[in-house]
Amino acid sequence: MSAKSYIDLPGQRSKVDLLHWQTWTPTLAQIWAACRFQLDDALDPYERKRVTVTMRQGLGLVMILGLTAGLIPMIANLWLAVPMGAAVPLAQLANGAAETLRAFTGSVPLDIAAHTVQTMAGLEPRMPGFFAALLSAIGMWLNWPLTWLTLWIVYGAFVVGIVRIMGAHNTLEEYYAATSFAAAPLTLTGLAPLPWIGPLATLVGLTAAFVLYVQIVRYVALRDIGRTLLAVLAPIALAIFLPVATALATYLLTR
Amino acid sequence: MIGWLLFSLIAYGAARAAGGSGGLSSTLGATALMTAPNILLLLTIMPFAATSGALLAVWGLLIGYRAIQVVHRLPWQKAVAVTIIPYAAALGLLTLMASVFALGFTAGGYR
Repeated sequence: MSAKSYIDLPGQRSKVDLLHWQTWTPTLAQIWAACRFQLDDALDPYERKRVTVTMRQGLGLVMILGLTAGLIPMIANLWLAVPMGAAVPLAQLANGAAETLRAFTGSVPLDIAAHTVQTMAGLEPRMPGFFAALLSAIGMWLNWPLTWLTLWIVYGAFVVGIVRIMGAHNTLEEYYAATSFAAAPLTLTGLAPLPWIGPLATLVGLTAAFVLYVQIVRYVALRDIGRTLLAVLAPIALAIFLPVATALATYLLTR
Repeated sequence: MIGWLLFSLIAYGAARAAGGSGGLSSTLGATALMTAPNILLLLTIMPFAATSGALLAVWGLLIGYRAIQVVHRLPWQKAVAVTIIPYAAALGLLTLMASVFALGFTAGGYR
């Protein structure tokens, strides 16, 4: 039976071709449909009245889009760190110190701190400076998909728990496969290092990703927009409330 | 290894008590997949690349939940409870050990 067949024959399991790219990502048409908020075309392109995207495809989508989004920041990091011959975080620190010095001239303590940071950045690294810059830039590039993966899995776990309590019947796989498409507009955040257009692209990307996430949760789990918003916002509210409450309680107890 | 064995054994007992029908060997086999996300730690070979502990913990927990649900054919509510029980037991044990230590320290110090 063809791996692309959607007919399930009893006793026969369709083979998964792990080397085929479509096993690991949805099609570009599906990703584009998600960006246009056409969820039927993105999640159920074969009109089978259920989510046909797999979690494996979702995982691949998040990883690939994360790596794509991190490309421009990686180039910017290399641009900064290679001429200095230092690891990226040190180069960023030195660059920040230089900018602070330019902004606040005449402050002696600031001058001392900034020059200390610049001296630290100028220290000879253990490996040749070029490799220190290159490897640290690649390491920070890998953090893009890892951060997105964390956001997708951890935040998703809270939301899926809430929607289940609210009475949704979707499976965990369906939920994660569908919500992976929210990473598509998030790719715009990779334009952040670009002057002028960067902050705007970041804002648009974050807003579109959030709206798309809400629409997907509504599509997959809950049909009601009010309950969907509650499920999506509750973990964020909790993440803000808990540290504030802990800090307040600590302050009141130690006063 | 010890964590996996403890989780599997406690979860197996809890699942059977909750009406699950899976065997011990299938529980051990399925819950071993909880360690699969740890493969991401390979990426931390690169300097400044970091895999979040929350990602590994939550992903492992979700895999554990699915493993228990599938192996023991439990409804989702019972599967969630069974998955949480080993963690709650570990937390309880840690709290007990900390309390015993605190009690001993308060009573007699390090002598």
